Amino acid sequence: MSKIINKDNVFLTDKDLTWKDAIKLCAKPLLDDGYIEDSYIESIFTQAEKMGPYFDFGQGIAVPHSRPEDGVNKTGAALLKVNKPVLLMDDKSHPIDVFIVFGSSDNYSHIDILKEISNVFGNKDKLDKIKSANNKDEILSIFRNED
Amino acid sequence: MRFMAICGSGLGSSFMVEMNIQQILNEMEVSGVEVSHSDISSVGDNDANVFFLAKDVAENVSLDKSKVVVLDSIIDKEELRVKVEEVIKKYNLD
Repeated sequence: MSKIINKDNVFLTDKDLTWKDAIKLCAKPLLDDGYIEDSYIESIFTQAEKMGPYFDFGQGIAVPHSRPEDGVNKTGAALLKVNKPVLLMDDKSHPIDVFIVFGSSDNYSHIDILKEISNVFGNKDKLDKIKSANNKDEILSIFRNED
Repeated sequence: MRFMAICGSGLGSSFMVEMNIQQILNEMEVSGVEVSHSDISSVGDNDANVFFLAKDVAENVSLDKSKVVVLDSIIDKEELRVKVEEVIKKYNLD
């Protein structure tokens, strides 16, 4: 069973988004449910402005995150697949197809989330399937097969 | 022999790379290598023999370049495997 993904925190969008709007949209379920505060999103932007898009994991996957003390109430994640690649910090060398925003309330509960991200997105087959997924169910089934 | 995975945020991406390096070393049956992780603000040249960094972070770091291995993607296990193998050969760890 996936620790990250369920039907309430996976979304797809056709919209043309700026990188900040994509991250905000991805994080919306976490904000709405009180997992994170607005300050957490702001801290992601601030860090990116300071050191560049550190959360670009490569291969079109971005995993925006910051530190627990920046505004995390409860460990959680959300996924947003964008049909039109979003350029991180408006930089052509950082096109993103999938955003996974996560927040950890301490220094260890996110480890399972990262392990799962690594297992799913580190697998070329699954990565390709997620990038070509047309709906929520397709994405959910790829994660569910990772047990 | 010490390997260290480095990320920018100090929260977890480096830990993920550390786990993947460890997994690859286990698969290659290489022993005697200690793997750990850190973030760019805390790391020092003497902390390890080889540092694995994501491309963006690598640009901002002031570590001895001969000890640095740059990763284009920190979730691409195949890329990591190739680079770990190169390091193993370079230092005769197999």
